[in-house]
Amino acid sequence: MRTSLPFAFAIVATFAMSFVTSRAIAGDPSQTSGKQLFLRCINCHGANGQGMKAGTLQVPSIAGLEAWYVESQIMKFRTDKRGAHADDAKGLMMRAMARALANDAEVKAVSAYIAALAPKVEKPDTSADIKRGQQLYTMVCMACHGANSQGNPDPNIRAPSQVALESWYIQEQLVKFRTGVRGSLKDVEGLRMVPMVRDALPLMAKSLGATVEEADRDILAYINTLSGKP
Amino acid sequence: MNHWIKGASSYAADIDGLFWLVTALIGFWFIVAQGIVIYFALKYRRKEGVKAAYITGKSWRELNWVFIPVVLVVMCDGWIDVATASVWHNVKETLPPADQKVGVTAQQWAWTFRHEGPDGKLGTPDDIVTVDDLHVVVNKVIHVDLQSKDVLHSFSIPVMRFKQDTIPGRSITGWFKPILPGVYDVQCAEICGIGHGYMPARITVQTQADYDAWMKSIAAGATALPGTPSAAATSPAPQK
Repeated sequence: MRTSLPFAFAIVATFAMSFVTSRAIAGDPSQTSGKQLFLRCINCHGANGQGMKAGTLQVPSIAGLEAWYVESQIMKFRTDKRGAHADDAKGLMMRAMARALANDAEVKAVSAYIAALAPKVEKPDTSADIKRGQQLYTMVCMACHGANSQGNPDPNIRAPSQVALESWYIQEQLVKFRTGVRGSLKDVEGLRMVPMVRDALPLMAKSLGATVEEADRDILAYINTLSGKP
Repeated sequence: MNHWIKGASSYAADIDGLFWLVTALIGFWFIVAQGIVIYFALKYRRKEGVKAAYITGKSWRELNWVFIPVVLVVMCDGWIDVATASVWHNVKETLPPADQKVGVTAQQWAWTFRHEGPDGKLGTPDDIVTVDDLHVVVNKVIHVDLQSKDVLHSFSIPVMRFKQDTIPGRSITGWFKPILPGVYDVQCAEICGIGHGYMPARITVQTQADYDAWMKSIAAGATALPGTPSAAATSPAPQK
């Protein structure tokens, strides 16, 4: 009996502490802060949201993207407006992870945290024709994305600033828009991108004597020179 | 078993039978073993003035506490093996002719299903491709051709009592015959990365008429807005 009493006390105390701790975590708002939620992202996007390359999987930097844009994209992944195409391997991964967030409040919190991270700075592409890139950008992209790629969050436009996006990532998305992997019928903004990228850009490129690949490279190099400020 | 999770395939009852056989035998031995341990622990507990015996386990009387249970457990094991053999043969070693074929591709972290299109053949341009949304016809033998794009996954439909690993570089064919219409869960049963828990899918078991109507609706969706991206890849509404 002398030894069993402390033993019983230890068991009761352990359960009591577990209960109190679990209640404290559930009720502590800091546990669901953007920083805490971002821990789910760092396996792929890196600790500071700078992206990473693991084997053949290249993951984009998301640091410094506008909060409204991050939020809208996560919501699209959650609702099958984006990343639900059978050929969109990375999109399907992101679709699953976006659903790990419990609710809209968590989406908003993690988006705000990502927006506050320092954006990645890219080296300029010296092989590109910046002037032609400017011409193409002006003709195809500027109306929605703005003269300095400052973006436009107007509900009727919702075009993001491209400055914080990495060139390789934008290139990858252009290909997805062209091949129907991105821009589903449910994705209003994505659907708007399809004719611009698939139809208009090649036409404009042809008028300037450039191939589609050259046009992509030149536009991306030009975007890299923009400030992203109005 | 049906009380907890429906048996919706032709062989679900056979697999449930095995489950109960294994559960009953193991449960019996669990109770016997624990009963003996508890009985001995109480009967031979520490007592004042009684010195603990050192048992060498060399006499037959002592060894029989090991040999007799071993023989009995091996007999039970044989019983399970015999019962399993016929079910294993029917489910895993036999491949009944297919009424419907479906291509299943696993990847981190989604399932892609390729259904036969209006031409009734798989692997042709009119195939219907969906993400996380499998449609099959009730009372038809379904062949699933399982592949993986990246890592090990396991294609599991609990109500069908169907589970089969998908392995990169391999194509594995399995089968089931759904017998109950309805919408059921599909899950990955092999840890496949950080998003493993977020790759649920669903299977809709429907009549031939409903299946044909679904196929037409998908085909209509694909051509609803000319010039827009292919709607061949669709996925169900998100699960809350």
